[in-house]
Amino acid sequence: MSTKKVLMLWSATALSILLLLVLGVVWLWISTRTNQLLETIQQLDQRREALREEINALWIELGEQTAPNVMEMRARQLNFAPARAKEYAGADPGTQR
Amino acid sequence: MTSPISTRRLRFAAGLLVFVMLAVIVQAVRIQVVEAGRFARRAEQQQRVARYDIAPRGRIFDRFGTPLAVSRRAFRVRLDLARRAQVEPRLLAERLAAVTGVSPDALERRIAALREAPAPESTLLAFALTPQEAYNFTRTLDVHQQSWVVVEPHWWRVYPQGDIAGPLLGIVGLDQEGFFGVEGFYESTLRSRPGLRWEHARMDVEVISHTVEGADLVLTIDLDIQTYVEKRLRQALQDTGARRGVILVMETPTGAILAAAAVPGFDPNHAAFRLESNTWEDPWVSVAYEPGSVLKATTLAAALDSGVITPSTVYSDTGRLVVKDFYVYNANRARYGAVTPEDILAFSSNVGAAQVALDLGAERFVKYMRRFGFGSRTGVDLAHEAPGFVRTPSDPEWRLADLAANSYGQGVLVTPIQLVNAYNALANDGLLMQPYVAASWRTEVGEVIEKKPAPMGYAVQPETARLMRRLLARTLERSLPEALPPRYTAAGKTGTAEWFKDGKRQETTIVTLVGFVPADQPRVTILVKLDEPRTSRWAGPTTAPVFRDVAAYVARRLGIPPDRP
Repeated sequence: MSTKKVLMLWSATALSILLLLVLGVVWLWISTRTNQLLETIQQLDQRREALREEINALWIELGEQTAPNVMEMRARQLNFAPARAKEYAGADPGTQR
Repeated sequence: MTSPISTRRLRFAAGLLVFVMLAVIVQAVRIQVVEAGRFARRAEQQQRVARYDIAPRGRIFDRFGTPLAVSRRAFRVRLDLARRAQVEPRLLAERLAAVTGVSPDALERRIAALREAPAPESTLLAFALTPQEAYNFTRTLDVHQQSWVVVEPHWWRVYPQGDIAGPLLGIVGLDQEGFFGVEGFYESTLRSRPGLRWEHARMDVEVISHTVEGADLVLTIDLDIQTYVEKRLRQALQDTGARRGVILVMETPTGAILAAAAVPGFDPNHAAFRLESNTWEDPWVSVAYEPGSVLKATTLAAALDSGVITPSTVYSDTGRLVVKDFYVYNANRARYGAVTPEDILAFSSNVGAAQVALDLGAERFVKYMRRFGFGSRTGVDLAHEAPGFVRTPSDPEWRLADLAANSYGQGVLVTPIQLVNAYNALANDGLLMQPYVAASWRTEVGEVIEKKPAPMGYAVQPETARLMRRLLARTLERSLPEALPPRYTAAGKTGTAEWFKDGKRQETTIVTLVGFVPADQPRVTILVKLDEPRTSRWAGPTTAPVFRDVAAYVARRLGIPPDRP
């Protein structure tokens, strides 16, 4: 086998190894990135769950605090009295300009 | 030269090798082909875990955004069937009883039964625990004891307003399925859809489907009016001794329900596991009854609309009318002499109404009953609506006496929602609207779907409806002025109906008053119905004060200007 052929064989082998290494690094990077993203998605899912819980808990509290019976009791404690009938001013068409 | 022994050995070794190879091939075929599916499933089970995420059910709000039904995160405790043999029932029952308040004896019996049952349907021991309660419970168990149970999160329905609008909202069961009322009717809208994801052993997650939250529902109900109406109805039951009662408040131009009260009601927070099954009626839509004289208004409207009578037509009320072998009498056997349509309503003359119906004829009478929505479902968005019943001349059992009796509300079955809707048509220039409770719903992606008022056709012509409004206003002025709200005009009609139980006429009555306010340009239509009042058997004295107070409150609340001094 000539020296040239041996060199070509060596360089082809080296290139193949290099290519494999590059592919390995790329695969590793993609895999790591995918797992990182999945981790982020999981965290966001958990955050969304927590927010759902919090929002619903706040709605319940709002509902309990604004219940008409509760509001009436508080208003009375603050010395508010039930409103009297509304008064309406009679509109006299003759006075309109 | 090879010896014969070594040749035999070689052949034996070769045969053994072939046998082993064949065994390997057979086993490979079994694993890879014959039982491939089973092994694949086993591998999947070992390598991944299915996680179901459950989103909360949709919320329900009143028309101004006050929450009526919300789901909260809660925890439930199940017995782990794989470890049930190790469980000490008494110890577990005591620890669980400390946070749930349930009797430890009952819990112990339940745990002991679960230990013995070969394949129990449910292993549930406790539910709706708050995070604090769940923590307190698990804290009392050591690691070994904790393995007896599974403590898992779930969503639990909470009604922040307590028993207000309870029967209207309905209930939600343990599996988050809605029954009755709004929860029942809008089950598919409110229900969330669970999401599924596989958590693989190699630490990644495969989302198969995302969770979808249930849509939020905004009702037409005004919580302020609802609260007042329920309070007033409870008072009415106390004042009259009635067994139960119903009030409906409808927005006249649209058919939207502003309030729907039923007393006795229930608190849906605690109702699902405590009430008997017969409590689960939607009393406005699923209970049909003979309404009595309130139907005289639709009888007269039909006769006026078809031109059979005019407001000045006079009938002779001698106190008795014979229709073949059927006798029609007025209440208290009264005689009213010469009566006009206005008198028939004001005196509540059965004899007069029956004569009007006989002149109208059965075919036209039934046609108008259908136009007013009787005998068929209104399509209101509440679960379990009953169609009621109107006998038609095509029915072999129909007799002429049926026509006479139907004219004043006997022999027909109507639901409160049909009745208030029919009067609403008179208030709304003859146009019958489809009643509705949900104004809009908001999907998880924020899309708002609004429900438009749905006209169902004209029951009578607008001129007839206006004429009927005047007649009904005069009816209240003449016969029941105590039903008029201060500074407002109102129109309406009462009805007192006898009822039957096991084929026997009962001593007590069912009383109804349906009307609208103001009389000339109505904004709200109101129905008050009381079952078996004790202080009086008549509708007037029992329902008038309730109608007056509700009409006055609603008119003020809606800012309707007073139309009388």
